[in-house]
Amino acid sequence: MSNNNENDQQNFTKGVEVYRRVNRLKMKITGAEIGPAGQVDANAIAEADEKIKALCRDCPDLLKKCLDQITQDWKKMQKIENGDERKKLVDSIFIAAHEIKDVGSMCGFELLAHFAESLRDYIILTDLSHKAHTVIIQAHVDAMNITLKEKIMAGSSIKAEELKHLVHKAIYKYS
Amino acid sequence: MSSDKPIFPKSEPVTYNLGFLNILLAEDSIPMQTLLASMLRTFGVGDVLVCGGAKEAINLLTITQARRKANDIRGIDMILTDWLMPDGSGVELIEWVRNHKEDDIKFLPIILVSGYTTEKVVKTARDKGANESLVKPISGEKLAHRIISVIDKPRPFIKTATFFGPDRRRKTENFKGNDKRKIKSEEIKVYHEQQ
Repeated sequence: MSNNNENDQQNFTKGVEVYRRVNRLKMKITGAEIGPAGQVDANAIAEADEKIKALCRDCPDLLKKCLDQITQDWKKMQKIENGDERKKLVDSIFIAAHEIKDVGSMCGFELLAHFAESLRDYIILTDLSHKAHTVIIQAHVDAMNITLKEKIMAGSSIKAEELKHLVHKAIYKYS
Repeated sequence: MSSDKPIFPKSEPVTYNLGFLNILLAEDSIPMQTLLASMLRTFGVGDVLVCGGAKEAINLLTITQARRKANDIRGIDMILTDWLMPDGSGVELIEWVRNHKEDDIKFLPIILVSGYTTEKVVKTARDKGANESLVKPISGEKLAHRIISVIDKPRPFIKTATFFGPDRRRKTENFKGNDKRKIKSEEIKVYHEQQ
């Protein structure tokens, strides 16, 4: 169907091409391209939901482990000026923050996921080499520790807004 | 004379056997990777290939689709990808797939699975050529719905100077008024694939 040209997209300058393809997936599953709509077995869906619940039961421990990792890495990092060791710690903080954001958002830890995402995105934007960055990272680490310790789940409570405000203030002042 | 029976009764949905389906899952977070793979297996998906980022996904796709051509193994039928991954992002993977020269790869259905997905991310994914987006927190129902939607409601692929991917319009609405489209009907080519 396509002209198998590597620069297909770049060479295409005018008009519109519409590709109506054979529904291979439906054929593979039902043996025919046309037929009644499908569904996944309801018991399988219920079983899948149980797996989510199981992850969410383990979630606080998992989040604590990641947060401890960030706290430790962050302590070590403040003593190292630069070099490969520092880069490794930045990467480790990034991965732990990313994990908190992923798992936290999955299991209803909205506020923690919010701070983790903010920290992760901050790491993407900076190399954390400037002294002012320490205040911003510290604000995130503190806010996340308080959030987990006080079990603040939703991102919109008064306490949550206060913590968010503190972190935003640090970002605004020291960026 | 009146009857409650519909003129064209809707047939009951059929429970699909997904055992013939091979899904590639690109997700860097190990707990999420484990969860999603396990949910897919619970749905009966035949094979779930798991990797931690776009780079690995690209390698797997290249090898798997080449071996499939040689009738060595079954190819990948669908991709589930996270958005932000340290080892190559979801957007890199979508771009690579949609710009590929081989039909086996470029037309693969792609479902974006991501946490805290903003409208901007969903729009970007759609404009890069993703078929569906799934925002965390996910549920069994939501995941099943996206997979079934890809199987039952495939949209035609559209190619323009700036886009290649599934038609971004899901509905057809009758428009009454002057045709203001910049592209004239003679500039639209429709390709129907024959079985």
